[in-house]
Amino acid sequence: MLDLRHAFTAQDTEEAIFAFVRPYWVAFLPQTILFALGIVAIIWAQVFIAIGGIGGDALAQTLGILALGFLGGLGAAIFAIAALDFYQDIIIVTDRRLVDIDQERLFVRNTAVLDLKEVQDVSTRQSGFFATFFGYGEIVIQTAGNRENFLLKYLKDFTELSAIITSLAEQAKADVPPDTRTPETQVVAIIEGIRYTDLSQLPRLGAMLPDDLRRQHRIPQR
Amino acid sequence: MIVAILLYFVGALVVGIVFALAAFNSLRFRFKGDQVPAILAATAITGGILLLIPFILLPYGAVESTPQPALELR
Repeated sequence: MLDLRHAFTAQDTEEAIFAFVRPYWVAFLPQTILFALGIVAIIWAQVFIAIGGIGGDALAQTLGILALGFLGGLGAAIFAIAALDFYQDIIIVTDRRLVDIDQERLFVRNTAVLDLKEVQDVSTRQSGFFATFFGYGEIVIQTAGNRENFLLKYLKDFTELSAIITSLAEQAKADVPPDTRTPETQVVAIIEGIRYTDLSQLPRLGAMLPDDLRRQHRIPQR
Repeated sequence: MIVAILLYFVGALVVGIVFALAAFNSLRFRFKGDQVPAILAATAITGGILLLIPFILLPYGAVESTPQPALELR
């Protein structure tokens, strides 16, 4: 189980997490299929060379097989980096902020934090064949002031997540205390791709303190 | 031939270093309980198999292309 009590550095002790979302794995399928086809092609070419399909002397055959072997190994390493880059992009929505962790290749990791009061507008977008067919999309969050907009891509439950963000942002702007903010939506939380409609499941996941339950079901004052 | 195989080992070492860097970086920033170790293990095993395949195929190609002199009976 994930350790959601220590999800990011600036997390407060009583801060509840309503969304912990990674990109939908289906969006990474094209790269995976390409890699699988590459493996098949490399092995086929190596066997073809080994049985003398292209002729040449032993040295030429050896060089060909070794070069393809190296290409396969390097391809696997590049695929590993791409897969981790994809998997380690994380969006966290708490009762006080939105955290966008963006992994770029091996050594760049950007973490952007947006106070929910700074959310100006939340919109969703679904474009492309794959996105429409498999039902994933993106969320664009316009921010106050000169800050860059937030673009959250490849999200499976993008409509539910945008509703959660909108609801929490409205409460933040209405100065509802953070420890009583609750998404007033049908889906109240999305943790690792699972949708939750009841707050009582969150303490078990570590997304909320056991004695929280939004201060024992106190209705947020708006 | 030996130089080519030595160069291959150097290349395999480079691939190994890339994997080690990926593992170091990913495990440093991972969340407890996530799938990072599984992704690393799956890709590393695939890479390892792809790097080993030439050693299964090499002897066949080399032997086929290097005819041995016929044994002469005197």
